[in-house]
Amino acid sequence: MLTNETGLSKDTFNEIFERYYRSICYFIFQLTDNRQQAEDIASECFQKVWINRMNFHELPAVKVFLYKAARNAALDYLKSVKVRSTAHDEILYFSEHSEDFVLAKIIKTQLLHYIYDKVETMSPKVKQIFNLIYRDGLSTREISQKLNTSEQHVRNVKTRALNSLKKSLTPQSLDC
Amino acid sequence: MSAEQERIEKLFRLFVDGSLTELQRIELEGYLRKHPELDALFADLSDGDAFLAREWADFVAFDPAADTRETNRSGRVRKLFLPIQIAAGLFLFLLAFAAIWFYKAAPNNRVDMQVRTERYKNDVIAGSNRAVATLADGNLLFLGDTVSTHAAAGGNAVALSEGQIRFKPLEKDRPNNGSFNSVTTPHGGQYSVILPDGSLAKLNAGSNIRFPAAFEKKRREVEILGEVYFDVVSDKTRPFIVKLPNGAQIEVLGTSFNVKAYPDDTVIKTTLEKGSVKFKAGEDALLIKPGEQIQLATQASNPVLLKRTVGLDTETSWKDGYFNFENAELKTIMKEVARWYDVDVEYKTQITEQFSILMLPRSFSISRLLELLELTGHVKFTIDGRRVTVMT
Repeated sequence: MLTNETGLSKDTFNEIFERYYRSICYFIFQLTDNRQQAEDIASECFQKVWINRMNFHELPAVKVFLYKAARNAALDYLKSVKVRSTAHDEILYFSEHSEDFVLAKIIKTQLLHYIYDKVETMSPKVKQIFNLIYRDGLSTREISQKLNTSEQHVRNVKTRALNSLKKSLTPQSLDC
Repeated sequence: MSAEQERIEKLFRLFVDGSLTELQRIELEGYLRKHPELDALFADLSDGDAFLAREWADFVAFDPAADTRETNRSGRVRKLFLPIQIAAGLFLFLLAFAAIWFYKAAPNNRVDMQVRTERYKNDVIAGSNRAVATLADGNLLFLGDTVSTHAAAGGNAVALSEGQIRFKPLEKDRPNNGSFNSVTTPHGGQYSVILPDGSLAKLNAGSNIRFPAAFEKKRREVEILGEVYFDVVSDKTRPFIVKLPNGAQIEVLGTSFNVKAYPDDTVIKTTLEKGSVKFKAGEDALLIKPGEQIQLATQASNPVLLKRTVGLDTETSWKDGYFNFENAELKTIMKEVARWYDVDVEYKTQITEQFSILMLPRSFSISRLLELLELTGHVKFTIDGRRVTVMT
């Protein structure tokens, strides 16, 4: 349990920050398409959690609060932009007229968070290759040259990493 | 998140794990049918590792440890805590603002009814079948509801019937000499065009279509502006291509779809009724299925194609003679009104509410439509000549 009866402690808050900062930033980035704004707005949202820390007794509630605050702040930001791009207009329109637009963004974010947690459990070497492929967009050849190994090895590790994403959890552990 | 949302997220996780049971898959598919945006996400996830290749870099780039504002944990808390007074002040301000706004938003219907007759100085009748055709030989045809007067004017090239002009295919031995036909509808006009290949193009108000006197052997190319409903005759050897003002184009074989590309709109909307359609803008291309719509923001510095599922009725019912809006913004509705009734719309205030008008005949005069909108209590209009003013 992350929390206790008297709201969030400082340590708990910091743990939540470590755990959700990336997701909240990414979620806002999906709406604003602006990295700096995403980080600024995310910080504000965590600030609100800290201000309201006495009212939180369980993690799911914090999560819901964070996503709600992030959504509202991101849309407020879009509305405040003086010269708004039509892409922004579209996002504003969809987020206010379609329930599942934001829901899909949240689920997308949560899935990446989920995959991130899994990647963290991989061995350092596998993790390194995984990130060279998907974070840095390097080709198999580039990675093999960089790591001074064979292309076949890189391919093998990639397959292993993708497989371990699939098998690291049994269906029973989630299906309740 | 609601229990249902939690459940959906869980099913998605199981899908990512590759451990979705048959039953869970059926359950998930049920949710996907209900939520088109989730369906799109599901399609993204199903495409091998393309999802990771696209999203992973964006996701991991946000690093709580690299957040430069704070360097250590206790420091973070202190820093975050600092602007609490500012935040509290802002909150109170917003609360007051919201209270005023809600107070103002309370409608008062009875008074509105009494003064409506004073506000509507005149009525405006609906648009009609009207267009101007410029033929390949340079002749101009002014087309209206009555056919007889200019039946002979087009010679052998065209045939006219009520609200419709048919361009006959050129004789086979005559080469395409590079000349074009075009048909333009004014505001307050609509007209159907039968193209040389037999395809139908129905023009809404303020629209234009331009096409060669004879289509090429390999392709049928038309250019449009405004709103046009197409019912394209299938011809697998000659794709039908619609060119749009900003360089985007739509490619089809045989299908029916609606394109809305007015120069004063910021979005080009293509809605598919039957068949399939490929939409191309620059490097970007998207395929859509019936009931889906592609939206292209025309003025964005970096145009993106957006796909969404829409109610077909709201997008294509104009061609059957109806206004159909579901939870639309007033500006959207009034743009259509301005085009169909040929009026200018002036805004005294911004209206943020959404309005629905279901299947109202376009043959009704403007006052009947505006009265319906006024019944919501969120908006009032005045009509003076061809000027409509929006007030609260």
